[in-house]
Amino acid sequence: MVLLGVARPDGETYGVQIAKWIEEASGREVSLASVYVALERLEEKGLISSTLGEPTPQRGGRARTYFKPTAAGLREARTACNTIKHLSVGLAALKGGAA
Amino acid sequence: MSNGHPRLATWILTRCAPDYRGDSFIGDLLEQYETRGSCWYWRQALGALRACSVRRLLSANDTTVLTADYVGDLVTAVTLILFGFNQVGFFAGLFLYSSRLLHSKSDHAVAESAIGAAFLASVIVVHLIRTRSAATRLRESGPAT
Repeated sequence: MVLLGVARPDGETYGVQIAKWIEEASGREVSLASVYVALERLEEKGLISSTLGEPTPQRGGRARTYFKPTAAGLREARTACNTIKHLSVGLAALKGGAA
Repeated sequence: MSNGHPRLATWILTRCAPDYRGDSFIGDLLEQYETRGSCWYWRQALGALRACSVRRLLSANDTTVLTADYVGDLVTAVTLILFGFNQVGFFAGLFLYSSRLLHSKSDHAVAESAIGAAFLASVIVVHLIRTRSAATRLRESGPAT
């Protein structure tokens, strides 16, 4: 989910934004720490890259870390989307009807 | 940035989770503090500490883990000695350390055994003192009427 959040076509994104997207999609509160842990793992695997922004007073003089997917990351995100699509085909309960 | 943000949580994060992309993570928390409030801030900070501790434990070398193990043993030993004045503490300590000594496979088995033996000796002494003082009290109170 975090990789899909980074791979959105809005350009570079940062931790809070990714957490918000996941919260909107899942309807549940997301731990920002979990998002950062996932981002770190994705970066270690070479699926995303990060750059440091400018510090702002709103953030107590702390800079944002912006993330964007690498080519491998985009491939992985596409694969994940396709896998989810394939897995959900044929599940009647997911088509809005009762199970 | 709000001046009213939980400074203690920020300080703990700075001290205990410095490798957590430090500044960026805390900056994100501060940015959201105005809209989400103190409870959210604390929840996120504690979540970060937990995640950071788990990661450190998983990446720790054997020496660190063994040191933590010894410290844990000592804390357990002191706790059980303090509560060793009742029977439950005595038998809990006996069980805990006999099983630890029997199943110890670490290279530091000697040190571990010494700690275990010292603990066992101390709880036995405490138990004997307790039994003896109870017997003395019984003698002093005279025969039951």
